[in-house]
Amino acid sequence: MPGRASRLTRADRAGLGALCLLLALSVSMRVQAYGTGAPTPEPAAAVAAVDLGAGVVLTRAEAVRRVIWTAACPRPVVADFVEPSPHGTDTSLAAPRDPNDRVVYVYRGWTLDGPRAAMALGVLHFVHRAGAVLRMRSASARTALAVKLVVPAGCDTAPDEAMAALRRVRG
Amino acid sequence: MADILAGPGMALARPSSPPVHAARWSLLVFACGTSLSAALQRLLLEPDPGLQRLVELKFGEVFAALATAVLLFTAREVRPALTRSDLGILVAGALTWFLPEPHAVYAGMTLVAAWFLVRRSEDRLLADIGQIWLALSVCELWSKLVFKLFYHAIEPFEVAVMAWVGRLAFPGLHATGVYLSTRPDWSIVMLEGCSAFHNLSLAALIWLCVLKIAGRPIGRGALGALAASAILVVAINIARILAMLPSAEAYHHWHDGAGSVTVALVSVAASLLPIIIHVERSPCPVARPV
Repeated sequence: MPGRASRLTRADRAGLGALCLLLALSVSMRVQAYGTGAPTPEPAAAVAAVDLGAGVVLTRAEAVRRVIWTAACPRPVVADFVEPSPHGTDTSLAAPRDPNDRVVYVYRGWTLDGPRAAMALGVLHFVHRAGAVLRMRSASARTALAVKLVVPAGCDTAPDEAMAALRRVRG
Repeated sequence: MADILAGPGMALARPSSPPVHAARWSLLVFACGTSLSAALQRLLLEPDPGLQRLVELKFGEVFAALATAVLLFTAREVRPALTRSDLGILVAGALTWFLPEPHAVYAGMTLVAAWFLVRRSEDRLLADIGQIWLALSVCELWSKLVFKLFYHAIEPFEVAVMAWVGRLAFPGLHATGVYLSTRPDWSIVMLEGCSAFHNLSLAALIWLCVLKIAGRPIGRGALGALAASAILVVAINIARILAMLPSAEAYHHWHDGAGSVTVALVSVAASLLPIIIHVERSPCPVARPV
């Protein structure tokens, strides 16, 4: 038994040493990231934030509310650029005040329609975010915005049609 | 003194025995390191997380660390005996401390907790620690994730309950979807942070920690105390939301001001009191007459 006890001692001590080393490394990495990250803030306004498809890309500064008039509707479709996963007091993903309005999200090439669109957007964002975290990139997943199209009640404009109009507004 | 009492055949079981100490400290370093990694990211990367959120988040982590320490250092008759596989899983879980996301570090804790609960359930101490770590990672990561993904399906039900209760105080209360209003010019939107969902998982974590610290089993009385805490926590949250309804000033007081911190503290007290009363009233397992 003394041999087994000393093996246990060695393994336990090695395990404790490894954990302490990892703790010291991760804490110093965090503090270092905090120290170097603050003086060089990302120029958020210039970062490509929304890919509208067909080669049209908007920067964050350009991503402001657009009103799109289509031939099919007497009222305009409103296009907002929203965080796919809002936090704090951001209400951009809350259901529209008029429950008859139709909300469509366009995010990273996906067009999400129907009553579960906001949930599907959350799942897509989570998958991208988890991928970015595992690749040790924290900020990249946060820069992509989703397009939120609010189609007025009684109007049957297709999302593709609204997106094509949105690309023309940009051009 | 301990050396004299232990005798020559008990060398491994002595409190001063090196493997026992190293194993205890490994478990404690892992528990505290995970919470430290998450807390450091929250404090360093988010410029102003708000006092209410700090109060809520810290309580869960502090209780779990306290319960882990108490289990490791007070239970004299049980000692952690970690195998090489256990140590390997602990070190693998600790690699998540480097992930650039405060919640993701709890994925590593989930892995270790699941390992202890599935493969080491015969070891009472490791199984207890596994339960606490699982409850902490559910509170800090999984329940938040589930709520974030299913918020749009869950929240209208919570708003409907709030409106049903709220009409007793505000007869003109109007609810549509996730909006509540008592006046035509003022309404509030129920977002993720407004829900009692997180407070419920925190209440369950605190309940489990108190039970483990007191060394009591999960019985009918303990489950009754958990149910009482859950009802109190939901009632406190409904009262807070309804208090925001009359005006913008009331909203700021209860949402960002001193009112929100008071509610967070009262909510933690509501999670603690029922289980503490239950533990105080039930006989101590050691002193119980056989």
